Amino acid sequence: MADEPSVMIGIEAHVQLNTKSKMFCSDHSEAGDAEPNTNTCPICLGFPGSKPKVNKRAVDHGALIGLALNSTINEKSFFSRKAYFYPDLSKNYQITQYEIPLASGGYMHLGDTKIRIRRVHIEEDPAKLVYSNGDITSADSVLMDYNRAGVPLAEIVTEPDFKTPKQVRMFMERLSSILEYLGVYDPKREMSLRIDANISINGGERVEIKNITGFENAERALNYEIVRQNGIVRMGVEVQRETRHFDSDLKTTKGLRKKEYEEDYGYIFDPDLPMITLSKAYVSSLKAKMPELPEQRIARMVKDYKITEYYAGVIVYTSKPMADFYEACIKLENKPELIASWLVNYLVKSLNWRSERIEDSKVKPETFAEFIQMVDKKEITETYGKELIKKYVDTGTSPKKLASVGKMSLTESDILKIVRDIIVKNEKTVNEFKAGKAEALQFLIGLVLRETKRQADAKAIKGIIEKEIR
Amino acid sequence: MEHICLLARLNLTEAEMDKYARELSDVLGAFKVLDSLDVKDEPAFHPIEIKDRLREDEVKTTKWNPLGNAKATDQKYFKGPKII
Amino acid sequence: METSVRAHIEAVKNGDVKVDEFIEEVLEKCEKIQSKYMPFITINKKAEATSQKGKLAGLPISVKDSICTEGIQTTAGSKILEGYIPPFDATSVIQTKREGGIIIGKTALDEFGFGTFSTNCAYGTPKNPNDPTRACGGSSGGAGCITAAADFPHIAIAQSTGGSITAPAAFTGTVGITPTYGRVSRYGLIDYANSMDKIGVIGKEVYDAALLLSVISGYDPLDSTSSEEKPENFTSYVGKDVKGMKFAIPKEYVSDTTDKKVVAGFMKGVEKLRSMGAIIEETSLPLTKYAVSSYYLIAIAEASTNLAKYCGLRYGLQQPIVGDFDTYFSKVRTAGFGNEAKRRILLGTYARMAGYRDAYYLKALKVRGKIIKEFKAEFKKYDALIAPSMPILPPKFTDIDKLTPTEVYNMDILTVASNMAGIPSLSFPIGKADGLPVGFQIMGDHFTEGKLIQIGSSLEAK
Repeated sequence: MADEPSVMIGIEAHVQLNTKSKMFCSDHSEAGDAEPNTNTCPICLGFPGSKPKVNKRAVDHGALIGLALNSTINEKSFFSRKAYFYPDLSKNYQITQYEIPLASGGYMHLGDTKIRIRRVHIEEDPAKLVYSNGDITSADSVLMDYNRAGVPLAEIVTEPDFKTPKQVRMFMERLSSILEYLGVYDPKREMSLRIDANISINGGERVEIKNITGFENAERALNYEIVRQNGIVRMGVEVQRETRHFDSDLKTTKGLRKKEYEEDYGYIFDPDLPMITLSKAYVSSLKAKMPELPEQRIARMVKDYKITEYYAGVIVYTSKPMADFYEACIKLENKPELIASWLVNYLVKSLNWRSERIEDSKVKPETFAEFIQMVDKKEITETYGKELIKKYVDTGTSPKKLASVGKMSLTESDILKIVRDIIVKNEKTVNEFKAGKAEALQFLIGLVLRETKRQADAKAIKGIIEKEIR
Repeated sequence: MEHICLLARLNLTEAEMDKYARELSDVLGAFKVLDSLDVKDEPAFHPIEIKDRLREDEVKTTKWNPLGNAKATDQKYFKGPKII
Repeated sequence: METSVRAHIEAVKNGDVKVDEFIEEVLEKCEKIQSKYMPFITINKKAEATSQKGKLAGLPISVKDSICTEGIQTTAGSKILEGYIPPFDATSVIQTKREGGIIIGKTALDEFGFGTFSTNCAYGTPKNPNDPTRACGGSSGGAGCITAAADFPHIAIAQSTGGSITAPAAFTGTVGITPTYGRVSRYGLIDYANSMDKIGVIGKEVYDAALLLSVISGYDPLDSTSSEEKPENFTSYVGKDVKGMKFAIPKEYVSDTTDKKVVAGFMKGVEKLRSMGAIIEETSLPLTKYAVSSYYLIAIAEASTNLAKYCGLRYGLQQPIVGDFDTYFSKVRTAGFGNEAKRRILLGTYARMAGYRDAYYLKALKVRGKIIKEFKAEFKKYDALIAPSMPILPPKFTDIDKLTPTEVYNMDILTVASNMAGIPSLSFPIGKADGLPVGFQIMGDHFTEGKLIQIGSSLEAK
């Protein structure tokens, strides 16, 4: 039995910042469905003679991210040109920060593991490339859409402190949550958080997997890589240093054409741009304005509401709107443990199943609080509650209404139980029905309806009674 | 020399490569005079220090035709050579 | 036709000039001059007056072809931008048009500014109007040429990175002002070396240069390196004297390798200033010997990244889309760039490579800091530094062909340091030697263009 391979993973996360305008020009930073190249100007298209100018809010956002990750904000930082040729770069260099970034050093705790953050810096996003038949390897030309070119990105680079793909996934979830709480990014925006992962196994060559979006995909891609590399090594072949892409449909990584040479980015300080100075006073004022971060919120919820860290974690890390929803419900119905339990065990699952986000759903604190009230007062059973919640998420109708209108049905077995119970208790009426008295059936149905608190369909009850008696 | 040509995306013939290599050597030799200067000063990125020229985060769209100078387009996309 | 700018503007203001007819005549004259001396890459046949008001009302202005003009071909002197029609005007062009200036054409230059003699222009080499077998200087050669040859009122917008206004002004016998870095907006200037590029002016008289400089100076929010220093009415310095001013001649700028005729011409200027009450001493700038190397290292590092965008996509020279993008890029760039451009791209790429960056590029940046300090110390003692503009008289084309690249780079020895330091300078045509112009340069502290104009105006005074 071989020892567990020693795995080292480091990641570079790219976040699209939700500023109004682009990093170096005044176009929209979110083009949405705009037609290609309609959200551009000579600056982001790198036309001769154009010059960039730094977006102030992007600097603030970058610094906030650094602070939230426990980094040191550098008093002076600079922009650099990273030069390489590619059709998605309008200038064939990317303006980024190389020598001295906005923030250095930092960390995030994942349970017992400390993931060190090497740096946080800001840069511009390249353009979007479309391949004429959808495939990068077989297309005979490339189509370029620069709507996205110049969108502000924050790049977060970690040390290779991850030992498992699961840790990477957890990190991404936590990071996404922090970014959401800071208000610097929009988690609903497609491609707004992507990572490049570098993985090396047993001291072997480093393989880079580029442009992974989605937390599950990150875990999948890295798991696949580990299997692939172990497979190669078992056959006696050495792992090559290379760059690979994750195919989210096939759930595999594949290598691109290998470059014959090592790209040398030839960094220079960008002479079109100023030095950025962030004074201690500025940093202090940023710290003071920092919103409550996920970890802090979890700690507070555990303390104030006496819920488990597990529940608090799920509520907070699902999304900020979910945590806001939770606390809004508590204000209406002060039963934090009960709400947490129904939220985590049923509501979250229901929404996930529908791929719906709480803020987009029909679920509202007022109506959910109603539901909790009914559960708390034992007006409905847990079994019934599970069914009710599904319909409630579907329609948004007040659970009280749903329960009383009788459009909800108990399960067949529930009704059956009640019917049998009624039959046993009402022998005389049953015999009357058997004798042909129609009103007897109605009487029995009425009893069942009352027992089921009118939550069962009269017609269904009739059918069941008839079946049972015959 | 070949490596530099690749990085710079310039094709040179063998003869040109020799010529440029010699000229580069010559020029770099002239630059060697800097070796004799010991400099502990901070690098000067601009003649006058330029700090914090920042732009307010506001949207201002440009009315123009970005494809106006392009010969290869496809609907509203720029068209370029394939990647691989 | 009147050639005085001052007189023409007055006449236009008074309504004494039919501007439309005037422009037609000017364009015809341009064609004639073009066939003799080739200052232009493009003559703007659609030139028309925009307003009769403004400081430059009815005045023909030429623009160096590295400065973007909306709707008018802008090539930066290179085949790789052949046919490029900019979708916007450079800020300095907007300012010129707003004051009534009429853009009559785009002037020839060394490709992207790479050169000292304008012999690296892909669209033809401008010839010196004083002697057409000789060069106009560079890289703003076309601007110097048309300014000298124009038999009509005219001022040129030019540009300098390492001396590209001073050299042509000296060689063509015109007045060139290289302003302080940041004084004039660089927005719309096709970049050579962003930390050293400056847009400036060339005129027949000091007044002309001062007038245009006033119009194009000023803060531009589009240019992050644009200075917030208040623009001045520089013409107010014309006619003032130099009594009591203190100047110094850096001894490194007048050496054995300086042409004796140039030195003689320069000394005549020195004597004239003395006779007008100026105190003139000698000083030393020991860092001068490091100037050319550190200048070129910074320039090529920046230039090689600036030129990366020219790859046959989106604008300029484009070829049929065949093959993969690396092959395509290399093909177009090889076809579109001239030899000097290729040389600088290769050198610049090398100087930026990991392992060489520190020794070359970063070190040069530190040397720049030192050179700036050296100048600043001098300007605490002196109002200005004075020297010959160029070490030689305008050379014959046949002699230029014999120079090695290193020898050409060393021609800039008298201008690179001041350009690196971003300090302003004025080149004044002090006289002629054997019929060839000699340039006298005056260098001042940051933002002292007014003082330089004052000194130049004194030299101009009879």
